[in-house]
Amino acid sequence: MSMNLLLGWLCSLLLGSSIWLALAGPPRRWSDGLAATGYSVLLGMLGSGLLVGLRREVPGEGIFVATLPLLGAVSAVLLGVAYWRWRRATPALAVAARPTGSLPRWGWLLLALIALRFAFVLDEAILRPVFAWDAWNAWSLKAKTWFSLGQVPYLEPAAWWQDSGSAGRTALAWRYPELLSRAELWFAGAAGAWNEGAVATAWPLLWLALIGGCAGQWMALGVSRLYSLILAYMLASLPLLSVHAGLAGYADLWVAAALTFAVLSWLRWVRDGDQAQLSLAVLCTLVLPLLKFEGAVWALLLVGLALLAQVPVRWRWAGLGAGVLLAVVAVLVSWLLQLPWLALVGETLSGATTDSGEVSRVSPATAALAFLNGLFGQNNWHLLWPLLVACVIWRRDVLRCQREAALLALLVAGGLAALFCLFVFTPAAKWAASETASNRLVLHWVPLALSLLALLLRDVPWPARTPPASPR
Amino acid sequence: MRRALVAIVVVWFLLIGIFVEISPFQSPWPQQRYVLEGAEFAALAGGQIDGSGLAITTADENYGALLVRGVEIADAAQWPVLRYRIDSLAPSLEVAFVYRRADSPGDVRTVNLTRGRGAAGSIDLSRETDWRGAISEIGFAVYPVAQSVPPQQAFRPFVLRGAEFWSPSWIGRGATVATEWSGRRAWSLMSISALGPDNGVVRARSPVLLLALGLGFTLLLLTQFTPTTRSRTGRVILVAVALAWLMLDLRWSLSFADRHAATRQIYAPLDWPQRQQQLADADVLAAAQSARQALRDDGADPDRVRLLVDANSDFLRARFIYHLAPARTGPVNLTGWRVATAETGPIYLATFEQPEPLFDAADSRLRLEGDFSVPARQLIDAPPLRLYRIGPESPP
Repeated sequence: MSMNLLLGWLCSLLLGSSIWLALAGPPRRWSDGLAATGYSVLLGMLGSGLLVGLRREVPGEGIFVATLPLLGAVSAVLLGVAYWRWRRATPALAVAARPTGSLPRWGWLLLALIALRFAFVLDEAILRPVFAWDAWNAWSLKAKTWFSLGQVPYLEPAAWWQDSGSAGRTALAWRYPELLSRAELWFAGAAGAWNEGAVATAWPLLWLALIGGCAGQWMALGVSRLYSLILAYMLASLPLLSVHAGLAGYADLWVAAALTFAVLSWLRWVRDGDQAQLSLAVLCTLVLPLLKFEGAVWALLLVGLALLAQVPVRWRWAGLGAGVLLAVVAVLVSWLLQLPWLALVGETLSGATTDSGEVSRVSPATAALAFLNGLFGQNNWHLLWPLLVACVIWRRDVLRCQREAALLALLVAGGLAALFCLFVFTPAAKWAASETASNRLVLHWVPLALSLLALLLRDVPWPARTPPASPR
Repeated sequence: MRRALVAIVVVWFLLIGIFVEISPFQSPWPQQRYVLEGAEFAALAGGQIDGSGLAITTADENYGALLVRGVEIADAAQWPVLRYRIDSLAPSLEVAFVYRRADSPGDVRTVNLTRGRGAAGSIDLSRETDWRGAISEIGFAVYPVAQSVPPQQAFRPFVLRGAEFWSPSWIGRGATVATEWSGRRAWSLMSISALGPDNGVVRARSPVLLLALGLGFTLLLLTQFTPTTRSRTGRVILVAVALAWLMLDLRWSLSFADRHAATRQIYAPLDWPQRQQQLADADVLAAAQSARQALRDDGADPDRVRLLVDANSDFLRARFIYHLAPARTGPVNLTGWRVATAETGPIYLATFEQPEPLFDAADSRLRLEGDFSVPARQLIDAPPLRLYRIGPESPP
């Protein structure tokens, strides 16, 4: 890894930190510091990708140098805003309190296990050239092309045939959101070459940022340090999540991180009324559609629930009706204007392949079994889903009493129900039956499932060691 | 409490029996064993006797090895369990069991084997529909891991220590399930989507589900039999869940380490430009580089001319396009054959492992769809790669 790549990383982290500082100010608690680090990595990498998109004409390693002044300027403005906020805030805000108490010895062991797993996934990501199918087919193809030629447009096939210049490109993923490819381009530019190992380092670091960010937000939401550590280890131990970090290149880990951070910030706002967290939630939600089509769906789900939660109880049914009406109008307008997202929805729901448009039929029972097998039977998630079901039943009173836990449960249930309906009752069932897509979309909800577990368990006292009963 | 403990133990035994699929009508241990030493096998290339085993020091022309020997098994159904022992098998290599049936000696049948956690592994052949009748020859085919390992770099020496056939038994069934639950795995394209089905046929029931059900029944029994000691029940369940989770994590960590070992074996000694050349589909990469060079030789800029691309599968076509990048490629399954309507510039077509479209060298025409053909000139005819320049403006 070159010094330039390290510089690229530091610049991204600077940008991300500036965003956090401008929106939320300096961390006041240790948990906020941990959350800030996690958010900074995600927002910094994606922010760098956005800025790269402003220098479309520059190819090769020049993209890094060309983007640096933009990045510096944006960071400086954000830091200025942060300084202004800090000056206006009450004194001693910037002092980050250290956590009190000490971890048990086995707590350090859990941290060591997370570090060990990180070392493995980082090494795997660096050593193995881009491997997984959609990684190179959907995301790296554009970044690799842009690195050589500048950010040429990707066109629909008919436009590609009509393009009289020589710049336009087409590909199966021509209509996919391009932010992730631009983030890849940023790191390739920093590395000074189309170095797939250098680009891939983003995924293990995002994985670590997701774990750190979650742990910080869990603590800020009132979960004890010990529970947060245990849940962070559980998140790090989940097999399919570490596969997505090691076999770098898919967008699902990014969607999971952005969705999780958006929801956890929103929950903090619901709980504490912290406006800064609401800003972060909005920002992370806005990022979702730029990553993947499913991100747009999850953003709508989150915004819908957030708005509904703010509506007074007596207006909820009317609000729900208005929401449905709005959605119908949006679909109609999109249909009239032939907006591309509608075609993407149509393809997803119809299960049509890009090859021949053939649609294979899978029975709902087969698809449901395959979907549930992915959750409960395969080696993807250890015991996460059985444990969550058991805890929801055991701690059902928490769902009645604690608003943020109830909202999170509703959101996770809504997301999983949407996936279940998609993969069982539509022709997209073939992707559940073939085990190709359903688990990857479930991955978007996995950190939130653990977050729900954290909220359900946060009031449960850790079992104290009871002294042995004295002999009578 | 004692009643609860007894009930829990009984439930766990029952669950394990169901998940391991043990038949109560079988003997606990194998009544008969048919032992074959490794040295009794013959290798097609690179074999050396190593004590009672057979060491394979060099790969054959397919970057693997084939080890066979004749057997006289009158009824395969009597020998459902195959136990195999291979020392020092590199993580970049896979193993398959091969055999011939006496009733169809011309057919070689193969069964992919799971590499055991130690040197030994077991498989229950009674689940294979073709394992029946008289068997005349058996063997082991060792070959590079498909999809994730460059074949030319995969081989490392190994030793076949031997194989055993066992009659049906609980131990035999347990050994096969233990191999499936703890076996060494490799990365495949499927690994990004689902773990378990990513290494071929799933031959054993889910240990995750076994643990989940076992813990659920344990909780149920504890709350039924000891309703007054809820805090103790909570602690027991907490410890049990923690142990189960750690066991599963240990299993996944070992599996990840196995997969990573193959990555390190191939890529760790190389710098990054070399790594990007050492691919499982290095042939597609080489074809892409040849195509780009041929375009240059034809006076075209490979990044400016339209280059239609086709291959005999979605995967190959997409890989070919990735390796051709930043070329101005158009996958024909997406763009179609609108060559005739294109207005400007030369158009090229590159195909990989795709016999169509047919080129008529006598007429210098390429038949695209049905009877529709266009004038064309063949630039590369080196199957699996073919490259054409199409259009009436083709120079002679």
